Amino acid sequence: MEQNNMVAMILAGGRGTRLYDLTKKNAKPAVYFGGKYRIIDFPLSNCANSDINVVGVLTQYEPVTLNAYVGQGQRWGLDTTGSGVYVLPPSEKDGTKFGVYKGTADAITQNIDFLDNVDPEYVLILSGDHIYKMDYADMLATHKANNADLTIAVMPVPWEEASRFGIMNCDEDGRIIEFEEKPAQPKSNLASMGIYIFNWKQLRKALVADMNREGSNHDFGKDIIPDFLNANKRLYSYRFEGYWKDVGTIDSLWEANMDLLNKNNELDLDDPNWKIYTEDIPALPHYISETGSVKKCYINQGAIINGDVKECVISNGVVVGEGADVQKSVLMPGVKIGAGAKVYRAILAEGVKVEEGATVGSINSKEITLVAKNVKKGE
Amino acid sequence: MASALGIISYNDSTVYVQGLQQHRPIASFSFLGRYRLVDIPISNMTNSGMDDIEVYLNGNPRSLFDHMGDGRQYNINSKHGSLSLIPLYKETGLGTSIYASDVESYYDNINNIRESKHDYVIIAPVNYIYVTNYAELLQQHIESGADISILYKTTVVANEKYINCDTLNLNKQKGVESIELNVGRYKKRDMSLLTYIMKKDIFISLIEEARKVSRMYWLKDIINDKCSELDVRGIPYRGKVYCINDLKTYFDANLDVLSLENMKMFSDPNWPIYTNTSDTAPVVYIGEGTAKQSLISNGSQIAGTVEHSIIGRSCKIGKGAKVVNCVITEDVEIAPNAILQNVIIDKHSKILHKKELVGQDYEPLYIGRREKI
Repeated sequence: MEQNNMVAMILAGGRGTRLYDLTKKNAKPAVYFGGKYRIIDFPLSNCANSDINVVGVLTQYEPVTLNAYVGQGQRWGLDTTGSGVYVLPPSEKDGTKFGVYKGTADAITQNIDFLDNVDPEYVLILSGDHIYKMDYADMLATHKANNADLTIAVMPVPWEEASRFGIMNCDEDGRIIEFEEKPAQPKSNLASMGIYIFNWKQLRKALVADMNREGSNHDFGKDIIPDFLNANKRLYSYRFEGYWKDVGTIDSLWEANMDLLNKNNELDLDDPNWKIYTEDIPALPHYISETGSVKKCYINQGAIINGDVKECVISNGVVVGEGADVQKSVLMPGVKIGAGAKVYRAILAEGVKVEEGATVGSINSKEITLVAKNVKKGE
Repeated sequence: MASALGIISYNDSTVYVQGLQQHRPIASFSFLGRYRLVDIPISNMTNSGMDDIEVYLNGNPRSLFDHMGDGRQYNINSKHGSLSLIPLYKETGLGTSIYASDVESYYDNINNIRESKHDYVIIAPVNYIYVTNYAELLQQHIESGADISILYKTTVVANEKYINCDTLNLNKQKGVESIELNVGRYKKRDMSLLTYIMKKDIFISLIEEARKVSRMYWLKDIINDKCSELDVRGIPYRGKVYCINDLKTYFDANLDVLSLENMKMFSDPNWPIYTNTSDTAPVVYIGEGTAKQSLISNGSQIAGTVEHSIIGRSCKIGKGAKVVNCVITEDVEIAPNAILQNVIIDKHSKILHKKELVGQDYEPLYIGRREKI
C-alpha cells in the first residue's frame, strides 16, 4: 500500500454482449485493442502511472483468460512489495451460498474482507471496458481539496447524446447537486464516466446498509450514489478532458482502433510519460516483404506483410499473404490472410484464417463485419 | 534440460567494430532493430533449459545492466536461476582492461564458478550469431567422452571472410589438433564458433594453468596448448552463422536477415529470442509513409519511405525522406526529404539538415551516437 493510500477496484465482470463473438469465450476487458493491448491494460496502466499499487480486479463472466492475464502484475510494474493485482471472483463465504455479483456495488460488498485487509483510506472504483488515459492521483488530489465524500469523474458529451448517459448536474464549484440516469431532458452535458473515489469507511457503511435492503439493485448508479446525495454528503465532480471511448460495440471498437491511425490522435499510446503497459510477446519487429506495401497503418511487432494493407490496425503474429488487399480493418493476434484474399471494413478475431482468394466485408458497406470463424473462398 | 553453467564471453582485440564499440561492448550492440547481441546466446541458453548464466564483459557495462535487469524477460526462474553480469574490474588499475584476457575475468570469479551447482560449463561468444540447442550439444559431448568440445562451422570462403578468426585444425575423427588464426590462405576452413563445452573441473584447471603461463593467455590459447594432452573434439554446426568482427560484417549480418527465409531462425515460436520491452506503441505509418523489405521496430513513426533497412525502436522517419539499405538503431530522427543509403546510425542521433548521406554497400557510413547532422 503506502503511496497514496488508495486501492483501485476494477469492475471487470461484464459480458459485453454487443461485442458478439469477441466476448463469447472471453470477458470484454480481455478483448484486444490497438494491435498490442487488451482493454484492461488501460485502467491497469493508469493505476500504475497514478502511483496506485494495489488493484483488485472483479471478474465474473468467462474469466479464464482475464484472470490469467491480470494475475501477472509485473506487466504493469504492480509486483513490488506491498503491491499487486488481485483477481477477485465471486466466492462462497460462511453463511452465504456461492453466488454471483448481483450488481456493481454488490461486487465490492462481497470483497469487503479484501478491502479491510488492505485497509485503505480511499477506494477508486473503475470499469474495465473503456479506452482512456487518466491521472487518478490528480483526481484524488481534487477529492481531498474538496474535502469530498465522493468524487465522480465526468466528461462533457454532445448535448444530443446526453440523454444516453448518467448526467451530473453541478453547481459552479463542481459540487454535484443532482444525478439523473439517462434523462429525457438533460440539464447538463456532463456525463458520469463510472469512475468514483470514495472514502473507504463511508463506502463500507453504505455497502453494508445496502446489502440486505429490499428492492435494491446493489448498483452504484442506482443505489449508492443516490443514497449519498440524499444523505447530503459532499459529492464533487472531477472534470476529464481528453480521449475516452466506450468500446462496447463492434462499431465503436472499430472506430477506436481507426482513431489510432490519425496522426494527431488524442490518445497517443506512445507518450513516454504515460505508457500503456501490456504483455510483451517475443517476436521480431514487424516485417514488410518485397511484395508488401503499407499505408496509414498501425502495426505491432511479429506481423509479416506480403500483401497490400491500407488503413489497418495489425497485431502480433498476423500474416498477410501476397496479393491480398486489406483495407480499413482490425486484425487481432495471429490472423492469417491468404494470398489474394480481400478484407474490407472488418474486425477479424484472434487466430482467424481467411483462405486464399476469399473475400470479407465490402469497401462500401455501412456496417463493420465481425469475423470470428475461418473464412473459405466463396463464402 | 542442460545442466550446465552458461558463460557468455567477450572477444579479444581481433574483433573491433568501428564507431559502435567506442560506446559499448559488443554484447550490447543493437541487432535487428529491437535486440541486443547478448539476447541471442542468452535465449539459446534459456531455451535449452539453462538458467544459471554469467555474462562476462570488458567495457562499459551501463547499457547492459539496464537491458538485462533480473533476467525475467529471458524466462529465467527468478528464484532458483540467475543471470549475472560480470564486468571486468581491476582495483589496482594494473593492466588496462583492453588487454585483459577472458581468463583474467574467469579467474576473478573462480570461486563462484567452483561453487556452482553444475558439473559442466558451456561457453558462448556474443559475436557469432547462431541458434542451437545446448542441451543436445551437451548430450553429444558427454556421449563422445571428449574432455572439451568446440562448435565449428565449415566455410569455403575463408580466403575472403573470417580473417583473423579462430579456425580448428581437425583430424579425420574430428579431433582438434590445434587452433590457429585464419590468415586467408585457404578457401575451406573449419571456423571455431568460440563455443566450448567441458566439465567445470577441467575449465577451472585450464584457467589456473593459463594464468601461470602468461597474463596474455586467452582461454583458446590454453586449449590450443592442451590439444595433444586432452581429448579435444569439434562438433559441426550446420545452421546459419553470422560472424560480427568489424563494421561491415555487423552491417551485413543485420541486412542479411531481411528475407522471409533468413528471418526464420529468429522467429521460431518454439525457440523465441527474448529481449526487454520498452513498452512502446506499435509502429504508425502516416501520410505517404511506407516500407518494403524492412524490419521496423515498435515506437517508430514512418512518414517517409524505408527500403531494405532495419529501423530500431522509437525512430522518426520524416515526410519524403528515403532510407535505403540502412541499419538505424534506437531513437533516431531523420528529417523530411533526407536521402540515406548504406548508412549505420547509432542511437539518439538526429539527421536534421543534411539532405543526402550515402555510404557504399562495401563500406557503410557510420553516424555516431547522439550526433546531430
